[in-house]
Amino acid sequence: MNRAACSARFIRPQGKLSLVLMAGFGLLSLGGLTADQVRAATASTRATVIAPASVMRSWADWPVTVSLSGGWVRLVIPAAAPPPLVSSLSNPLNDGDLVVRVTPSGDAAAADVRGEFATSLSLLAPQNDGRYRVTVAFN
Amino acid sequence: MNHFTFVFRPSPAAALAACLFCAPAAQAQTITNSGALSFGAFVAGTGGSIVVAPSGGRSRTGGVMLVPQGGIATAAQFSVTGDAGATFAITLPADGTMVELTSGSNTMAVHGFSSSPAVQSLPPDRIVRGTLTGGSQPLSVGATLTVGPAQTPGSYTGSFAVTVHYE
Repeated sequence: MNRAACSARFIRPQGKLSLVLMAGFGLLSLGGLTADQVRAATASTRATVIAPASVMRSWADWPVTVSLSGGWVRLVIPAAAPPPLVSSLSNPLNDGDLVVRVTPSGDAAAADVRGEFATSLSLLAPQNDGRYRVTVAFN
Repeated sequence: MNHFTFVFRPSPAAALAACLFCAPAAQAQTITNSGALSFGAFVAGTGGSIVVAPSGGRSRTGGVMLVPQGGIATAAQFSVTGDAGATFAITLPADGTMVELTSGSNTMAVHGFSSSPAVQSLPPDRIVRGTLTGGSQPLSVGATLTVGPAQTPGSYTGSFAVTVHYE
């Protein structure tokens, strides 16, 4: 049986220069990998502040009648009121918007809101003096 | 029959270099924005705040009156993509970071960023950690807008950035 033996030894880098070069390659590789792992994206953000003065003008020009009966708050927006239309009915004492339904059906925020609206008094929170306050906002 | 025996005794530095060069390259992750953060329209009144949740729901505090028309409220939408199973860390603007909406010289501050999946870090950091199942992860981001008393009417705009780190 013919046997042959072969051996090899890893040769250590000789001198400080070789070690510095190897360490440098390692750092370069690590740096490149890190740069590829961070990404950023930007989102726009926006808000629209509506002038309260326009609310007052609209209220004065096209008065809204408010009545209370049977546990319901009822508002009537005059048919003569032109666009921009009433956009919401809210009660500042509650968090979030109230759902305002057009009589007999519909949503005040969905379409033409001129006409008659009603919302349950149970959805409103009274003020400290026991009165209820509702606000009609115009665009 | 021939036998060959190789004996290696690499130095620690050489082992480190070999490890770095031979490691499989990870696919770079990306994050893209597909939707803006909108606080919608409102009447400032006596001032307060508006909160847009990651779900897109809007609520308010103080004397602010929300107006459904003239711009609906939406949460910002992002998508993180990369290797399936990879872990990531998304960094939202930290508490105290100056994020403003401006309209001319008028400003409103945006703070309290929240997200779905939810933030998992302690304040002031806002970091979301997770694993990319299927190679992608949607992210919804909401925040709180501070409205001043009699805030000047107008259309306010701004922006904010999020970063994703591959872990």
